[in-house]
Amino acid sequence: MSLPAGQTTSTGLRTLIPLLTTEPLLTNEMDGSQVARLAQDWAWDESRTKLQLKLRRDVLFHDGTPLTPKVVAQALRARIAAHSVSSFASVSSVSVTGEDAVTLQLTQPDSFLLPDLALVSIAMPGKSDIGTGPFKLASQSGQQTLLRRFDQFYRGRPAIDAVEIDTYPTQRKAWASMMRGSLDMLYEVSRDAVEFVEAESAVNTYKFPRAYYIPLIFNVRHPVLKNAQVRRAINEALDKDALVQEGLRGRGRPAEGPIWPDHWAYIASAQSTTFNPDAARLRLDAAGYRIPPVTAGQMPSRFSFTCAVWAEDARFERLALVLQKQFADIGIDMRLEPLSATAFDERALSGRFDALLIEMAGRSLSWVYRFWHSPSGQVVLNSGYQSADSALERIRRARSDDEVRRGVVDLMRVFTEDPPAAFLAWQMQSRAVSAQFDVRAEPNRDILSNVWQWRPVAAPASVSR
Amino acid sequence: MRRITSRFVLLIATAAIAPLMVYGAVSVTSLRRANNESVRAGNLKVAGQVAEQIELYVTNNIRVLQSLGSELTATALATWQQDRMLKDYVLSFPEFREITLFDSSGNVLASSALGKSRVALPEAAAHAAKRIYIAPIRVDDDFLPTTTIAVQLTRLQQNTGWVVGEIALEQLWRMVDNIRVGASGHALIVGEDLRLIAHGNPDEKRRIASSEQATTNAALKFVSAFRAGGVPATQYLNEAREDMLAVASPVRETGWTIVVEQPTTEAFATTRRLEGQLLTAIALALLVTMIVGYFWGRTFIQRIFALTRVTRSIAEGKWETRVQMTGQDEIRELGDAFNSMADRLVELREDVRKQERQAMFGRIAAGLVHDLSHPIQNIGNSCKLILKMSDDQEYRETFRRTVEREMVIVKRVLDDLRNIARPIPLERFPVDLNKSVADAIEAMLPHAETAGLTLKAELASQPLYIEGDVFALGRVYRNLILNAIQATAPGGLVVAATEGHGTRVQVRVYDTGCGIPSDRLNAIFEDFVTTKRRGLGLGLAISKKIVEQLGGSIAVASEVGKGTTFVIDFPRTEARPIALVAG
Repeated sequence: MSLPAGQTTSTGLRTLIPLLTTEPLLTNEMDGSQVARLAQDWAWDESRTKLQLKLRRDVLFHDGTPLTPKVVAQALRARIAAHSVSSFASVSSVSVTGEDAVTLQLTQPDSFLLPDLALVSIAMPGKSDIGTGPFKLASQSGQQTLLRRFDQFYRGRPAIDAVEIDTYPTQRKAWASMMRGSLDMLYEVSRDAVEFVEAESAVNTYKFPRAYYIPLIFNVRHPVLKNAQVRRAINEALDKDALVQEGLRGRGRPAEGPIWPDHWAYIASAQSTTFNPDAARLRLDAAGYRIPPVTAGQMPSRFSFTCAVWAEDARFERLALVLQKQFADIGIDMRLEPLSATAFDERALSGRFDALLIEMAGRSLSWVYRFWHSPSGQVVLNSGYQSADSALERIRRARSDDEVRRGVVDLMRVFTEDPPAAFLAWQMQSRAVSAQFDVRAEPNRDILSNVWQWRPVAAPASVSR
Repeated sequence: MRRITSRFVLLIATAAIAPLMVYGAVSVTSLRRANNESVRAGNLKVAGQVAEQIELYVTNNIRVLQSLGSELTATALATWQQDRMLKDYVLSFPEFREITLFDSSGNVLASSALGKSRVALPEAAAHAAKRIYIAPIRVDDDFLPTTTIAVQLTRLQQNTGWVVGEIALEQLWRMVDNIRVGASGHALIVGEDLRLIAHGNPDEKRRIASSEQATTNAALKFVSAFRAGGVPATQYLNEAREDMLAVASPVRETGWTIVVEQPTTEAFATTRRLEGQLLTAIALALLVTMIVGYFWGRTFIQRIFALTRVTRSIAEGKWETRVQMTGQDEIRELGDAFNSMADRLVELREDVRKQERQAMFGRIAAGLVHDLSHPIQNIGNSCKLILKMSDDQEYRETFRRTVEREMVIVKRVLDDLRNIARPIPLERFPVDLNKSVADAIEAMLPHAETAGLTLKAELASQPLYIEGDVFALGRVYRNLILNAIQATAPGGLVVAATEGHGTRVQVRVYDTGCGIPSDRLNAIFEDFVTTKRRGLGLGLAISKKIVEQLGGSIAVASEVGKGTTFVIDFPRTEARPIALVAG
């Protein structure tokens, strides 16, 4: 398996294994709305401070224990205590309110609670490896994980007996292994290889829009980047179409901001930045950042900053080079600093960076809040940016969809006028599966969401990733 | 006739079909050879063009590095400028995964890589005589083939460093993938070390990534043989057991070999199609030849068959039948000649008939003269003597009896002649065969005595009754006995015997006479046929007619020198003579 983008091997496994072994109460659709999963229904009270979840009664954990409101309440309390998602801070209590009902009491309305519940996998309290998903963890050692079919999976018995998960240090190495026929599925086909994999008749590739965007995050404490006009000029200077074509080989689409364009609250007509390098030059000139005379040994630039790039993921290298070239065209010297994943994370959290080239999740507005709301963002990103806090808070406390939409418009305006980053592109992702499996793919949907429905075309087989 | 038909078919086959088939075989062979050569030549040309493209690809990459090297050395750029330039080149030329600038000692000066350069100056490059060095294909960390090109930078004839580019062979793959020969023909590149570098078949690309490439791979074996001076084109079964046409062409710049593979089913599809068309044309020609030959032969043979039918018809006695021939050829002449011959046969037949009639008439006349002249003469003499000796009562009476006797003879001759032409009037009553035979023997005893032989009856112990005419039967017995007496030399024996066998009764008249030659036996019952020197020869014919009219049959067996036996067979009847019934 190649790693989930932007994550290390261990975090990749932490994402993939729960996806196959556990189930959330709800799941987020591509448009950001929620659909039932372990909870078959839910209802808010009028004040939107009490959420009652009605659970399915036919769900069993891998050890045979039935899913009960008591177990779910326990699991939720543990996750809330860990503050695993931002909206859980609004939850004051979790109680069992019926044979199949759990009620969450909130201190104040929080529109992120439902999408955040979709991010929480329900596992047996104290036994995080025992879930209700289609596969159960059989063994895990080193780079290999073995999952076995869970015959009592409430949505139906999976057709595949077992899933072996192998990890690879690079995407190229993973697809080379796929080409050798050592794998049945490739978690992610690298952009360099996708055309070759697509051409191979023994393998089917499935691409879908991935709700992850790549921003160039600015540290607003930087002496130059703290200037909103500079950041705005940088956004105007970027030819995002060219970035997508040259940096992502066309497998993506330009990003206007951190809000997923397919989200139900997204408004396409909201204010956004357009590519205008002349305006960018004028704006930088007006901000006092003119191109100085040539100095020996130095690039004649308006200013310079250093962009930290995750060196272990080749995807970012080419994107960084294209960015560097585009900045150079308007006289900005962006220096590139390749970092290991550990060093990268440390810099992001400590705020010791000028700019970061990174990948961020964005399907849910709660993720936008998590990254760009300054108090919350410091958990994962310490850029010093605070301008969007108010708009983000309004979205979070919205009591209706209209309030959310108005909040989104405000947020997009803030991100345009005082951008915390240059939002570069949303990505397309491709997964590859051996033609020996009938994957039953749905358009624009991740095939991993229905692994339990995959069928071996020929003889029963296991799937390796 | 079958033989004529067979020969005719054979004639058409040898005269028309066989040459056509030979022509077809020769044409197909020639066509196949020529087209196969053409396809091979075409694919070789494609392989050559691909090799040129690859050379161009490599050359272009070398030129890129040379151009980059020139810019780097000629303009005395600052390090940051060199660094940006290398990065710009990598962005502009995606073939390069990384380009690194080395000084003459092999130290990295600048690199397109974000961090530490992955590319090292190939050691062999430093010692190479040429300013350009292309490293052998190697497998990178991702088990994928890659290579590096090192271009030496010089200034004032001095080595100032190297520009080394690592080429991502995926770019080469894209180029190879775009090469198509026909619908599924593709190119593949084999490196110096017989390692597969690129494969235009997407499903075969995995072999490149395989760490252990099959040395038994047919394409690699072919390349090995080609490099050793073998032929540039061959056919082999690939690992999918598909018959492939493969041609090879060298890439001189790199030592690589281009192989263009195409399934023979596709490569020679045009040849096969042309062959099919030619074979179809030949088959059609054969069919037309056979159809035309059949109908033409039919018109030919049909006239012979018609001649045969007419011949048979004439043989059956239909003398008026003639053959109607069409056309103006020899068969027509044969038909005309046949008709003339038939006409002549009819004429000859009439002549024969006339001669036969004349002969018959002569024989009858002679017979009549023989049979009647003596009685007539006796009658005439008696009449004369009656006039002379009319006073003598005894003489008159004698002459009268003589005349009456001779008249009976004359009358019998005349009756015989009449009975030949019409049915003999018979009166059928139950007759005792023994009695009728005994009466006949008694009547013929004087003749036997005159001839000096013994005539006797051997009668069955029981009466044998048949439905018969006493007088007609007597005539039959008389004829048979008289013939036997006449055919038997004095001292011989003539016997008339009767027998009964179940429902049949028989009369056998046999003698110890001279016998009848076998060649005449079959005809003795015919009219006017006699074994005697004179006479009409009607006796046996009339006897046979009487016997058959009475429901019986007559047969003869004879041996020359031993005697003759006539057997008359009648059905026995249960009826009895009226007198017996009354008594």
